[in-house]
Amino acid sequence: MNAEQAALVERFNGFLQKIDDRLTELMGEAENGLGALFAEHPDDPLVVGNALTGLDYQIEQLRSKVQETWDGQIEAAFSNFDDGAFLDVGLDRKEDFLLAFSERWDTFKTGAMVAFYEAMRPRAEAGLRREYRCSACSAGIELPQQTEPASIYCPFCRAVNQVIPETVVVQYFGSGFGGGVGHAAGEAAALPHRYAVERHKIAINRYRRARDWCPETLAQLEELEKLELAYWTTYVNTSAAATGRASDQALVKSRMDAFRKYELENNQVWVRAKKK
Amino acid sequence: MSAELEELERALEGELEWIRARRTKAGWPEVQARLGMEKKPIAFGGVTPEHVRAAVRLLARNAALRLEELQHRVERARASALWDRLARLADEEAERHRQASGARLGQVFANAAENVDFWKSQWDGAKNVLVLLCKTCGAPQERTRDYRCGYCGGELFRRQEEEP
Repeated sequence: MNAEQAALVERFNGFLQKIDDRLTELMGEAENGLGALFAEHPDDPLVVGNALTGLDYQIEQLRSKVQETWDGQIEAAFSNFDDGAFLDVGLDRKEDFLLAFSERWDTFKTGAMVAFYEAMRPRAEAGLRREYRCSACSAGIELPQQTEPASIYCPFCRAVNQVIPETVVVQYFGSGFGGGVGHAAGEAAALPHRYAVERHKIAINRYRRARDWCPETLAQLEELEKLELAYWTTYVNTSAAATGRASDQALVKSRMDAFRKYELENNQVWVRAKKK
Repeated sequence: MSAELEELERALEGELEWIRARRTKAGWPEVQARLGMEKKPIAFGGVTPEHVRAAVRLLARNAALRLEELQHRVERARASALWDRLARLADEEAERHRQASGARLGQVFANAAENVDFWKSQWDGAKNVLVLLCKTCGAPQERTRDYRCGYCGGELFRRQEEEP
């Protein structure tokens, strides 16, 4: 890299640092605001979700400045000094920065949801100890699973009671189909694996680009499969641990089947090696 | 004598500025250490108005102790004004922090909570335990997933064609 190229890279890094600093500021303000929201609406994930959606928009505005500035000014400057590889230096720097930017923000969001549910936990646990009485004769009835609604037959008066757990219990534990602390904890734990998959895909592309766009190697594709499996396994196991439900291995299988079908089984290297 | 009061007011202002500059997760442990507060790590949510209120209350208490020593030697009206200020100080600083925290993103959080009360009111008072009653004879449902009354043969639910 010559002196002019190095100076351009430094200026680009300076611009990216400003974006990163602004992200840090926004995350600090967001954390304060979310903390206040948790205190005012401790049992309502809808409010937190709304706030995070609104914050997503603010963050996206910031993120899009990188691409706009690249398109408007920086790409031309890198192209001017391009010697066959220099433009890629700029593109790679932008790509790495945007991935790290997204990872920081996603980590913040998943952390926020985990914090929200952690704060809800004492009330949810108290809700689990609630006693239910038959609506017709007031005899005590028990939910077979304290976190799931059920139709319970009263052995005393024979009425069928539709029993729904306390709202805070339903909000905290979610349903058997997801949501609640299970999803929040699973997503937070699995997020680094998601970004490991993205980074591996970027590494594969750069490997191919350096070799005149040769095909991926089988080892790279198998590593991709391993990383994707790590994501889903972590998500499912962490969700199960957070809620006390059984680990949903069927979800792992269905996600991996879809991943293989759409990301691997249309690749000739994979097809030839695996004979699929 | 008024110099002592001015010194106290200046010191108080200085301490407040010092605390305001450290209302972050990174800076707050210093505030806790300086004021002899319990060193609790700041959870998600950052430094809240309650944290600020607790810290400034300690500051105000220290200033009040000093003012108590001075008040008989200084002008009564000025001492009284400072007493009033010390009484309100913690709440004012907490509110100031609350407003500063949400300044740029305030609208995002206001929008997030806008329709919550409406939906909460729809669910308030909702019962957790329900028994379906036959709309003909009032008998309770006695078999799960069977919506025909075991006593009169009537329907437990109103049919769509009967809707007004």
